[in-house]
Amino acid sequence: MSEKKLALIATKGTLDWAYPPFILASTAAALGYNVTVFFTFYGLQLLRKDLNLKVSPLGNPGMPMPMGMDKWFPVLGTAIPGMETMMTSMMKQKIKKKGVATVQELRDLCIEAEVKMIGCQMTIDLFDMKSEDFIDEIELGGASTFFEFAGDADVQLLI
Amino acid sequence: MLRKVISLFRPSAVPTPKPAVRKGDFDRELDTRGWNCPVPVLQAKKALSNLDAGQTLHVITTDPGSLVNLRGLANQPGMTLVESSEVGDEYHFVLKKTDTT
Repeated sequence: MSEKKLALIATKGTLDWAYPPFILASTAAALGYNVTVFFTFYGLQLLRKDLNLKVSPLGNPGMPMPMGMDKWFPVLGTAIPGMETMMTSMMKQKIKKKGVATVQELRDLCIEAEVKMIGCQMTIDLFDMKSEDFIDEIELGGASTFFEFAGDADVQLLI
Repeated sequence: MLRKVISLFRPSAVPTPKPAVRKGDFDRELDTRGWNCPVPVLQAKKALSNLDAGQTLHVITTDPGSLVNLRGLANQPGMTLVESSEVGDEYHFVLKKTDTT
């Protein structure tokens, strides 16, 4: 059986959306896949040395909130300053309580499992980000770097 | 919790409720109770990489997702699932490393 390949593109930089790419990448690696993840646009936030991810209830009608707030709480209310910080800390508590690994832990497991991570150079230039703010285990590249790998991958997903 | 605390001091004094897998049936044990998907399969993979060919790993989980995940892990070349069972809300697996490649 030849090794299977998984190619992911991670495009989102929030606490909730940090999970799908890291869960899929680490699980696939454990199941014997050769995995590469390409982080572009807001997805680059997942590669910062200092992870500071947040979740926002604003414009997210699908997000379950305590006390059925997602049903009666006015949408504009979710824009109140501090709501984002509050929802983020509540979600972090829930994650801990339910025995779900933190984003940092999952990322470390991915690195340990030799998941290849590529940061998008164009995004770094576009937003004037500093490459030293990102973890050392990544490689920088562009669309062609992704296709070198994804061209013959068995599964390709954009998250 | 209390059982865990007592077991630190007097392992023999703790009555374990009908063990699914007997001590001595495996070389290493991995307890991932309380952890959710995908932590059990990731930790199992890591623990297996430290085993020699022919050795076995006993994994205990409470995550129903591990039923699929750990079987997937055991289906990889160089590994087999020796045993799996459910005791209460716990799942027990014994995985064997058949070769180190």
